Amino acid sequence: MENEKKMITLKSSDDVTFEVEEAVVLESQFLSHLVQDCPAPEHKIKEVTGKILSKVVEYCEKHVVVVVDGGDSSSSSGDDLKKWDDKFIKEMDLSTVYDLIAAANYLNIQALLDLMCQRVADVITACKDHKEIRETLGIVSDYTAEEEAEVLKENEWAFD
Amino acid sequence: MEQQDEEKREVFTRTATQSLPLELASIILSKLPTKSVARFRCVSKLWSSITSDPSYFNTRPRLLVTFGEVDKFYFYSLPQHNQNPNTNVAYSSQPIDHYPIRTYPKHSPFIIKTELVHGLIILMISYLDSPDLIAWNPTMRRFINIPNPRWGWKNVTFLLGYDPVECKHKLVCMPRDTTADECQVLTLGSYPELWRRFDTNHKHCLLTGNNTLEGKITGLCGRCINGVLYYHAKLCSDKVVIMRFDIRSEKFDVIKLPWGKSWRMLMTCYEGKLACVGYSRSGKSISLWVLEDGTNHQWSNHLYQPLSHYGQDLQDKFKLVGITDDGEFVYAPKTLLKALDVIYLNPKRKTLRRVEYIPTVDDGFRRRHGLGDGPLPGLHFFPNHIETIMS
Repeated sequence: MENEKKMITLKSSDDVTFEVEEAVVLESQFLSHLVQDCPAPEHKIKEVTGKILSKVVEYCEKHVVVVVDGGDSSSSSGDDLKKWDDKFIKEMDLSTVYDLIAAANYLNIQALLDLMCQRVADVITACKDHKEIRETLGIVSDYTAEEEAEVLKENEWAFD
Repeated sequence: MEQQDEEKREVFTRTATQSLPLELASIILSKLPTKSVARFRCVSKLWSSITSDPSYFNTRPRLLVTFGEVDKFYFYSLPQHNQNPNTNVAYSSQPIDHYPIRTYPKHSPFIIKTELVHGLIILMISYLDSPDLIAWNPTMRRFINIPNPRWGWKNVTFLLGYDPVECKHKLVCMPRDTTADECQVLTLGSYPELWRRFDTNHKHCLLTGNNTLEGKITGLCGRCINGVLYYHAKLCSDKVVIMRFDIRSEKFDVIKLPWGKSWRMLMTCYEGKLACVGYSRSGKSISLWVLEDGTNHQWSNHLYQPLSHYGQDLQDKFKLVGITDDGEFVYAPKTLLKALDVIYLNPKRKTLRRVEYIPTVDDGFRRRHGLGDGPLPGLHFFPNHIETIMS
């Protein structure tokens, strides 16, 4: 219907700028409200760094393209998208995943939030016991030896 | 060992620059299988506190699938919530808990005696001529012996109920195939665990077995919704009614049915209320009766398009097993060969999603467990299974 694509500039907390199509911005509930309410050409997002915002933009651009193309070959593009998502999360370290979770939560991008949370859940599921979870996620135990023995006994059924 | 742990602890404190954002932890935890949640509880007090809220588990109803025979029995606990509300087809790659149950002593046949109610199911194991009742918590893999009813009626039917106020399960025992006005009740986990016998104040004959939409009767009986147990019964006047048993106050009531003689309907829960699903008189649509007001016998009726409307072949392969909390009709396969497909149909919104659960019972699984290659025996589906780790 419209050939002229409206461009919007996003600026990260450390002043890195990204020029994106409006459709990409609409993937984020937070940004679509922002763009509607205040029609400035540039929007600063103070809570998100350039490194993370580049990932967010990469994700949204990929997903918006697929939705537009999806008319003809919906199933294959759905599979392709899943493959792309898998690759996208596999290359990421946990600290980036955490930052992306926080960013997706703040910008209100449900699909990205789900994807990232699933990634953490998969990491946890792959751990064979509580020690491995601590090691992987860098969590410090605040149990005393007695308390730990007790909680382990209570949840004994989950270890085999 | 202890020392090693101390050392590691030091390293974490120094190197862990960032930790999991706490406010988002519950989203992550909701994606974990219950077993991993239990392991997670052992990680730290802080993390344990997030999962200790009893309501935590109540938010994630699952689909429990059991199959097997004699002494070998398997169960799968599958996520049923709508992950992609806008897509018709969704594939779940979430991890699924499953394990075989073996009875002791070996080769003791056992049967499922009740519906699955708030994370518990009652089994009966019979060996050496003396049947034993067992409460099974599939999530915790726990089996608890229950005393047999004290008053030996010849044939009995068991119904399981749950009182959400006092968080207690109660097992009801009724005489089968005879008109009576008494029953026995056992509160699970009470001390001493004793059967009590009392008058129901309504002379009735319990109609054993719950119906399916195809008119077949399953061996299980009754439906428990919000602390009330419902089951079909016949009064002295030969009239078919639904009996209502309040688990907490232990009072019986009669609910009149607005439809004709037929009681061949699937009794289930719809939007927190008792609902009966059957075919309309013409057979062309699905008729859903919802009990709006139990005391005034008020029912509402809704007609929906049947599954065949969405695909002619679907009707032959799938059967209705219940309704989710989101109002989706759950259609499970009539036989299970390899892939486990389940259809979730929202007849109101006319949306349908077909979920293929992975891993499935493929050739490798069948070989390892000596299951042959025919349809799996003793297939049962229990929608809206609540994984409770309270016992």
